Amino acid sequence: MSGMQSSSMLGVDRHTAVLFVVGGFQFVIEADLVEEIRSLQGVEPIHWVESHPGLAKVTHVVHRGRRKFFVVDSGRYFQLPQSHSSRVLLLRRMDVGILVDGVDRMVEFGAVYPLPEAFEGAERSWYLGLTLLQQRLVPVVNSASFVTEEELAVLRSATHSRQIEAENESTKVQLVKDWGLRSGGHV
Amino acid sequence: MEDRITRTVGTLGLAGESRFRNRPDGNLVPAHSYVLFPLGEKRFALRAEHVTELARPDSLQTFPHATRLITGVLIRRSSIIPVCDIAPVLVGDAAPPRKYYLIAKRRFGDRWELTAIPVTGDCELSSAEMKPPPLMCKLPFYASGVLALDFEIVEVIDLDKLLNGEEAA
Repeated sequence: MSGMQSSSMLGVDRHTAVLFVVGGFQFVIEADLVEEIRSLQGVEPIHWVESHPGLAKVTHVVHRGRRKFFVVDSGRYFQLPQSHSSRVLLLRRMDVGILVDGVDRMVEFGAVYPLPEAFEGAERSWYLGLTLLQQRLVPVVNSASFVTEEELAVLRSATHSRQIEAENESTKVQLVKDWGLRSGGHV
Repeated sequence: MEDRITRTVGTLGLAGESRFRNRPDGNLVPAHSYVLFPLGEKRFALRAEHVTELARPDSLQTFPHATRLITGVLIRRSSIIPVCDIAPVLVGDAAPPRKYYLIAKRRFGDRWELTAIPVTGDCELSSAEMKPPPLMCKLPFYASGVLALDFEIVEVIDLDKLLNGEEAA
């Protein structure tokens, strides 16, 4: 029988977490996994990802120094169309960001309880489990599943290919211009 | 404190009871008890050994997920119990508001897990014998047989088939 024994995933130690909101639902993510919480300034939409199967959840990028973060729209990811993003959480060590409706506050949580087996959908990868915050069960998100390593490799490779294409295109344009100048303006 | 309806299956001492009955052909066959539960105007049955109690509504807690028929979870006696609303499959969207939760067991591999089934009224225990469907009648994929009561034919629900969406071929 599934009792509320704590899951071994995070043990029963107290953890500091960021409590965030998407589509009216609360979620927690371990604070150690979040590198920065920022506004939407500098968040650039990308559309080419939509053609990649399973990657339509990646809707934006954020450049931070030399790093490029691929940003997941949490509303799409959690299938909550009524979400309205206002913040982005940049995840540590992952080059991944998540768009969220809002950041509520920092909280402490203890035991993480496994999802009942009856949950058989994508939520099994979305969450590490559930935790109790003031008698409310709140999902603890699995940061590794927003964008998997394989998906990140696809995104990086596609970005690289697009950069090369863009550079080639720019070189072509420059060559055509140069040719035009040399031939007296007749291209 | 959690309210409990006094007439729970557990307190009646019939949950899981299995008796043997004489058939007309002289063979002894196990007869099971069934919990009859209403969904609107229709009643359905679950094997009593799979039902642990009938409970008043607790506060349903919800979070995003992608599993069909699950509407949320309850916390009961320090357990997280998923709530599976099977009314849309059994009677469509017309079922009246659910009043109670029938807490039933589901098997997952070698483990059993509790599941709360919202029902629309009082439940009843019956020790009728389950029968195959009448000739020329095809049972829905989720029914394992029928109980022929005095004025009523009641489908016996196979919760696993129903919740796994195992449509008959």
